[in-house]
Amino acid sequence: MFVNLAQSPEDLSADVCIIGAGAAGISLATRLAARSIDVILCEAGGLEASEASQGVYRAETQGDEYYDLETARLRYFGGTTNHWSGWCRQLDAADFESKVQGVPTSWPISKADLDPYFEETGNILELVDIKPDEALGRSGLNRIDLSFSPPVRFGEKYHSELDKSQHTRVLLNANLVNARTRDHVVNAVRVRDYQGNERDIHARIFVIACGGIENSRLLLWLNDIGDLPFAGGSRLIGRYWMEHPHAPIGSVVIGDKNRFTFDENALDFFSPTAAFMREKGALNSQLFLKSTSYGGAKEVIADLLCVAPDFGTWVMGQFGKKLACVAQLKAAWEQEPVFHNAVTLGEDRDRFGIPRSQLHWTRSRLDHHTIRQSAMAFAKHLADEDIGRVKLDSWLLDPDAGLPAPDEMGGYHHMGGTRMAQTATGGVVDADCKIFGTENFYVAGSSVFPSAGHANPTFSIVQLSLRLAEHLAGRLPHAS
Amino acid sequence: MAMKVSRRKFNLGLLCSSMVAFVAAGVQRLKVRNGWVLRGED
Ligand SMILES: Cc1cc2nc3c(=O)[nH]c(=O)nc-3n(C[C@H](O)[C@H](O)[C@H](O)COP(=O)(O)OP(=O)(O)OC[C@H]3O[C@@H](n4cnc5c(N)ncnc54)[C@H](O)[C@@H]3O)c2cc1C
Repeated sequence: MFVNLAQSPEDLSADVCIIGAGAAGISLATRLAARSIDVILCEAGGLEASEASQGVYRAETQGDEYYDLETARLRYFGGTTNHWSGWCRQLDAADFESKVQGVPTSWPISKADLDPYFEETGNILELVDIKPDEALGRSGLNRIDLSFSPPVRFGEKYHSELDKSQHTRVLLNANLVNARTRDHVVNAVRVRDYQGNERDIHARIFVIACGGIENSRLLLWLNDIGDLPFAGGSRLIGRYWMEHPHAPIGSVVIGDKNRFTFDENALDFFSPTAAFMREKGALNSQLFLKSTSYGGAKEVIADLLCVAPDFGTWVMGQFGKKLACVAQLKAAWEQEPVFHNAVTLGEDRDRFGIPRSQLHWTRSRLDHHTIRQSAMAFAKHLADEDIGRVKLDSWLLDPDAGLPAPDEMGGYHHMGGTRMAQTATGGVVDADCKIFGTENFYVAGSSVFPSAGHANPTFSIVQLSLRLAEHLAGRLPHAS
Repeated sequence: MAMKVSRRKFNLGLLCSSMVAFVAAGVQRLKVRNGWVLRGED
């Protein structure tokens, strides 16, 4: 059932109250309802975008240039999946471990903990045929597969199921503004609409699923105003925030395109092996080739003919046989998790009186090193095998150069801020996504990622939500 | 259709930069020139 906050009964209670109806919140709600658990799903927006709701996302960014945060996420039913692109990939086993000495990338869980949810996540995201990785010769890289969701719009896909479910009530225009806690237990949360109507929602378990920036902002706010018993204090809330830096990194001339497996979007993907990352002291990354038409390739070929006339001339012949191609080399990569990249509370307040987010984001030397290593390995592989030549952008060749700030800065992937850890000294939530120091307050979404791998985050967000549903069902004895 | 492009069409002087660096490679020495990662004999 869907109801606007203003029309809802005064007395609202459920087994589980989920705050935020995006990929994380909706995956969790549908799975809990299937286990006969009563859920109230509070969504800040309505069924369509509205200025009143979207304006709450206005925020300030500091450090490296970053996207406008008011448009980088969507604040209505279905959340940011209302305009995501649908690129999907699971995290690698190595992503859960330490990769570079002194860099805190390890998770308190392993890939095996998420594997049981792989197939169902694929069904939710409507992915087909996820292929295994293959070694790219002796380059230290793998040829990898990415899958593409249609893309699933969670709001549209699950509206009818949630509406008909006996176990779910979706409360629209319900903005989390406060929480009431006693000892280590959250008893109720307060939600407010745009006209000032308020409700208190009582539940046995609460889950915040408001996205990779809002989860931090709202927990920082609740910590400031209330007596939430965050163990270890609020020191780590909002900290170790991460993106996947994105950039075009060069051009590739390929003499025999049959050596590649371009998909229907003319894309082919590569990423380093765990051994390569360890050897090079680099984090994870994703290189992708986007093949271009010959029209866009003339200048690149002309440039290649200058520096490698024999290869260039051979390639010209290959073009005649329709075997050669030119591709743009792009990359998205794992960012070093660092304390100073953070969501904090700014001076400015939103319409509910809550301080707006301030995002501090900078890319580090390790971020530069990471992509340089993979890009060089790929370029060397093509030259070694004599199947192509790569021209890398100048900023990549100079270890002291900064990273560029072109149109592409990141993937709109907002991760970290409420990182998962073994103990409260290392993070905000435990391996079950429960906030340290509380008995019944959980976080869903990519804010719990302690490190980001290179994989687009939504696949792992859904896997984590399904795993969380399993955990919560275990706490509620009447679950079917 | 085979493309007819002659190297004479390109102004080599303008396009070729002086930047040349050598990098270690597994099989043979590779070099970097004007951003291109090349084989030694290129
Ligand atoms: C342009 C673009 C392209 C993208 N492409 C990809 C891609 O190809 N692959 C990929 O993996 N990811 C992609 N993403 C990221 C993807 O959209 C997110 O990972 C995903 O939507 C996160 O799900 P979520 O549920 O955690 O957050 P969201 O989907 O943002 O949902 C959060 C929900 O919480 C609600 N909410 C917020 N505050 C409150 C409050 N105070 N009270 C109640 N409710 C609240 C919001 O209204 C929203 O409905 C893309 C993002 C963008 C912007």
